Amino acid sequence: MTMEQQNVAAGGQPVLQVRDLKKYYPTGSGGAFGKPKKMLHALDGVSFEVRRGEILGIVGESGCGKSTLGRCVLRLVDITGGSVVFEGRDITSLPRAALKNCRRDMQMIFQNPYSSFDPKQSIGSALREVGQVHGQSRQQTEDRIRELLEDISLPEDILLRSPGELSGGQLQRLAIARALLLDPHFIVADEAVSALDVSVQAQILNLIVDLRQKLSMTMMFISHDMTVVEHTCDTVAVMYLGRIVEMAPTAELFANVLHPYTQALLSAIPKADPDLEKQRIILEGDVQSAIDLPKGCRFASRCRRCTEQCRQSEPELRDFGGGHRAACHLL
Amino acid sequence: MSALLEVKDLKVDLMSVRGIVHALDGVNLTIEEGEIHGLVGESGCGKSMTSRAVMRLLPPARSRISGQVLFRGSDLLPLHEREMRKIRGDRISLIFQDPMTSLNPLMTVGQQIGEVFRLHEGSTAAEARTKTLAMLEKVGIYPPEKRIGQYPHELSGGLQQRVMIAMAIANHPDLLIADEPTTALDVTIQAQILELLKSLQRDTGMSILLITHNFGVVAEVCDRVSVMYAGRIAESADTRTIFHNAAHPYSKALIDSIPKAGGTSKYLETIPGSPPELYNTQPGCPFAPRCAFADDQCASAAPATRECGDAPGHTAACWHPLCR
Repeated sequence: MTMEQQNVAAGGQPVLQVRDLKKYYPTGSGGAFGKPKKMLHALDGVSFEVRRGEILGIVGESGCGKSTLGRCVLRLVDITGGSVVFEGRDITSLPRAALKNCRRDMQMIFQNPYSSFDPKQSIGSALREVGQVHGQSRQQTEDRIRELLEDISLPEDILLRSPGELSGGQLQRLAIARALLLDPHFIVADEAVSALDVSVQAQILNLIVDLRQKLSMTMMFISHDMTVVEHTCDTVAVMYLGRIVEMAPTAELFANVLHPYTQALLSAIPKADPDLEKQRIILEGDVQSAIDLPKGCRFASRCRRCTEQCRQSEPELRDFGGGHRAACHLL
Repeated sequence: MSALLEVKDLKVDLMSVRGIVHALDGVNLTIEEGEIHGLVGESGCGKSMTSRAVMRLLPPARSRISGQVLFRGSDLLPLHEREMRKIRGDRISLIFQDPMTSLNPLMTVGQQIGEVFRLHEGSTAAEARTKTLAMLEKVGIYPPEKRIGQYPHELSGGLQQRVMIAMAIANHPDLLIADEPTTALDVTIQAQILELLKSLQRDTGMSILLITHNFGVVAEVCDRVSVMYAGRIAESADTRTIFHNAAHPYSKALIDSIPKAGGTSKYLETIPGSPPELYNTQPGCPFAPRCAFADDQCASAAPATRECGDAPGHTAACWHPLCR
């Protein structure tokens, strides 16, 4: 067990506490003629915490709210309801200036490295800008950049190149270095390896494993890829239509899947092993719209074990021991 | 089984602003009757280029193609465009990654599928409608009477891909080329589409060339696999052999770099370096600069494709195959 894992097991300090987080987006239809605007419920009552040194994985399919969640906890978008407490401070209604201070300590890595670097700016200038904006001395920034380049095993002359000359893997490493430049206490990685080929993805995942040993990073790792999450994260939360349906320590979750949606999701992943017994649970239909939500469980229309109770009332997350929580009436 | 499609020494050069790109550099590929053949590799290795060259969809003014594409024994490359059009969408069909950009947003589902029947079979509007309804049902789009009048934007990604499949198989093609058909879809929807492709293959006996970067998809649906690297086929074999007894160091490295479910090691195997630029072809094996087993021979001469191992039809282009 590494130091970080011990930390997590021993219940390290919570870095981030999210309570009943809601984010609704008004949709285009309605509104103009006195009809109330319809709301898209991107997040609808999400609660969890991230402890120091923990990597929390957030998985789910398109439209489940995982990216919105990433944006909300950094307050890149305003929150409709609930609270986000970062290191003891409620950032839900923090004014701009105070928020900027807070942002030093929380960083984000995005999916597409080609669109998160300015194509006309050299890599060096893009990295130095971060230090400048947050009032670090020039020397301090330079030193830190040199250190980080070593960590991500890229040569120093890369600072003179522009993003277009580099490969996706190199750029994604630089995006990670940029996020680490101010020694943040918390990082959100939103689909950070999804745009990469498997051999490059493996390099980035190894880098994350290395860096967390060295820097004891706390991270929220958002991904649609269950295998990557299983490989990288300590705890996993599975989302469906704006809610967490199941959450547990990684080993526990994969050994003992409780929620029918997680079961279907896991069985749907094509396994890179032709000899595996294939017992597929094929889900029927598509995810429901987040605009007109059903009264009961959000997964009911696709669930094979759905009962009358499921259609009537929405299940809450319940604890099943060992930190394993799931939201299902049938358990 | 006999060969349905035989690609022999296929080369494609593309003119680009920076010079000539040798996109395909002697591809040899055989697809048997009734098999699902996977074509895997990383971005830029020439998977999609192969499908476009086979279908002759490359711009003639900016590309140069040589070699042979034998479909049932006759070469497609010298065919006149008019004759080629009879093959495309009729004997060989193609579906793409992103259904939203391949469907016409201004035509209803019914018009788009019906067009296939009207153009290739000369059906009347009423006949086309009947056949379209049957086709929608066949690819699992319910209720067909309602869906036939809808526009692509009214459908989810999974349903759109089903419409693409319906169009592609409307004329009972002998070969369906599916270029990353599930890459843009969520896993639960991907599972539905893969299941559909498998059952259609069983029912019709057509062959499928499945282009993908996902080894999981390969393991689930393919009978045989070809691994591509830098515009060449590095290795071909049946699926089980590729996973358990790969001969080419590149295939093995690629498979080892996938995070495994329930894996214990925190470190994944990686491949040092990056794929070569395809502007100038080096004399040696294209994988040599990144290969752990490379020696002088690999750097000086490109290996020919040879039989290796015990599995029938297992071939690799490597001087030092991992299994002999």
